[in-house]
Amino acid sequence: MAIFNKPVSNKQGYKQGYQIRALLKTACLSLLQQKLRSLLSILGIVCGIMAVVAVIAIGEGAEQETMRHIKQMGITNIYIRADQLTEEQQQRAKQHHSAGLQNSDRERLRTNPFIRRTAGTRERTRNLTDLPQGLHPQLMECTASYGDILGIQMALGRFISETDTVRHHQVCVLGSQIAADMGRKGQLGQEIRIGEQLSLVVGILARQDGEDGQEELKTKQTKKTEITKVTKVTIQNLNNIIFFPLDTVAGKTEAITTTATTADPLTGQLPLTEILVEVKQADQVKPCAALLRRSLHKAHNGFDDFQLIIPLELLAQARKIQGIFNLVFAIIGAITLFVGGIGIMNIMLANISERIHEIGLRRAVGARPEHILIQFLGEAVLLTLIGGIIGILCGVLLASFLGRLTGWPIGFSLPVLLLPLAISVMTGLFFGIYPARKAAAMDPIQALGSPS
Amino acid sequence: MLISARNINHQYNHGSGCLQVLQGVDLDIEEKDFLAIMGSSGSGKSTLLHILGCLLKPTSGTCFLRGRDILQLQEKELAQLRAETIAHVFQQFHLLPTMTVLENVLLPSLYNSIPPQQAEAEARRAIQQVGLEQRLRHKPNELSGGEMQRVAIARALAVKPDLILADEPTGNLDQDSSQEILTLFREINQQGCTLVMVTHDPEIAGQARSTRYLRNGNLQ
Ligand SMILES: Nc1ncnc2c1ncn2[C@@H]1O[C@H](COP(=O)(O)OP(=O)(O)OP(=O)(O)O)[C@@H](O)[C@H]1O
Ligand SMILES: [Mg+2]
Repeated sequence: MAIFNKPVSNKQGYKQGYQIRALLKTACLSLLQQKLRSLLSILGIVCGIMAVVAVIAIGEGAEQETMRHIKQMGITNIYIRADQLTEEQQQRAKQHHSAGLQNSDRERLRTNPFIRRTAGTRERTRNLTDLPQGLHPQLMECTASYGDILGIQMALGRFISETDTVRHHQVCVLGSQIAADMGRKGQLGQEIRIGEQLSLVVGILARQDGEDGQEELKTKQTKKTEITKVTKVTIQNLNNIIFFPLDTVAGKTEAITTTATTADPLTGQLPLTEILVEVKQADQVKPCAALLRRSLHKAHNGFDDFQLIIPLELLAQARKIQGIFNLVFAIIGAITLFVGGIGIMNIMLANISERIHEIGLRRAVGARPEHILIQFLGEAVLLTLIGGIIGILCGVLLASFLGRLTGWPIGFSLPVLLLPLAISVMTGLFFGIYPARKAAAMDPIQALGSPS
Repeated sequence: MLISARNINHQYNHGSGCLQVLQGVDLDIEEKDFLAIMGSSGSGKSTLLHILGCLLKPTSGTCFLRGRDILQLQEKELAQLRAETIAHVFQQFHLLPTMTVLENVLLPSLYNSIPPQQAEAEARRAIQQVGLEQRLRHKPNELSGGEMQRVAIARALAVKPDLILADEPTGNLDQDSSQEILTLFREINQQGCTLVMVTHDPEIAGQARSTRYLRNGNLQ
């Protein structure tokens, strides 16, 4: 009969499951008894979580898309792209004796210790005389290193080789899409005619992942327009290109998409569209870019008819824009959740004031204030958790719907679904603590005296 | 000595003034005692039981439970006393309307240290002892006043406390049922449980070992 020998702090692990089950049952019953009221009270949480989920999913999708683009461009790469010049700018270029991006610019970079390798490309627009109707492949002259830097995979044959460029071999390599579209003409060993010139097909590229399908979507993207625009000019749709060795496509006077349309008066060579530079290490990209900009500025006699596109910087920029976007929506979500949380607090206060008698009785049969606290805090969390789950489902639906409507990429990863769940639990804890503490602080006998 | 209360005073404060209910109550309860308390309505019997049961702090006085001053105890220790040592049979039953008979009887087991399975066995046995084994799944509003009273008694019995404070436990029962409950009380008293029972019925009080009268805020 030793009352006080019984342990005061019940460390009854075996009892917790029992207690939790009983309290959960009570909580569910009390919520079910006021179905409509419970439902209305979690509406705010549902909306808040729905917004959070949709925002995270859209943000995640954008992030994945941007990352994919930038990874494709290569983190250690720097793109030096010739500017498209207006008439007036071309006049000024002449005055500065700048002949645009030249292969000589590229060759000068060889001595730079930061740089592993470089590639040059020149986009051409010429009519392929004997192609089937409706096919508009892009023609591109490039160095052999282009394939190496971009890690181009071949389906058949080989890419442009060093020897091709040096010996000016009349060969070409087809992107997978154009090869397929050309049918029998687009096979290894066939010849492709440009004007008078015939080029032997020596290779066909493996399909580059998913670029085609996304092409249309990309134009629709309104969000992160900046990045998309830039990446779009740089990341070519490799599937629709026919590659030639540099300086092997005839017709030196024809219009080229970029820079000065005329050849360098000294070398007689057309300007390049793009010089692709691969830096040895990612942390050297920034200093190297600054170096390149300065040396090109000098080489072009102070006329900047080029721009540097640095994927690493695009990444930082994209993250920054994403960060602002996230912040705005985090604030919106937080406000909604706050309002929703107030609703929960309100309903818990009403709930508790209706159950004062129950609280009194529980205290009278041995419940400690903590037991009461946990019970009502648990009910609040249960409410917000249900709200959170409904909200996540609605958010997923909303995001998918928006994604389908606008063409935005949508990313659902586990954190997208778990974070809002955690947020809803925290909302329950935050807004449930005040009512629960109020319940726990009640005097047993006064509570018991209140009408049941 | 189980309980030793000295000079207990209690007053209720109303909006207008205060009402002195207990005035210097002295009470000793031996272990395994069976005490009946009688008194007119409003004399403060329920108030006294609440004080003895650690639910209500008296305005002044001392109350020792096995040598320890319960008025000095922490909330945690009080809760444990209520959960394991002292059980009330309330005058107004105080059953939870949303729970079944069995769940009501099991309620204290959420807060005491009896293992769940044993608690359920005890609960069923207690319900059987008060003759309600057919009503396990009924809600209180489906029961008569006497049946609710018996559920309240079963809830106290199931805890296997050292002390049961029963406030008019037979107030709603007919003579036969009252007698059954009294027989049950004497039985558990034999087994070592101390009982304090408030009653208006001298015949019921006569079955206790001793009877005290509460008059003018004093025990006689
Ligand atoms: N919470 C309270 N606040 C104010 N006054 C109270 C309160 N509880 C009881 N009283 C008053 O204290 C007095 C004693 O009440 P108590 O319930 O102890 O009487 P009782 O002896 O149990 O009466 P009964 O036999 O009718 O149950 C009554 O006059 C009652 O009005
Ligand atoms: Mg009374």
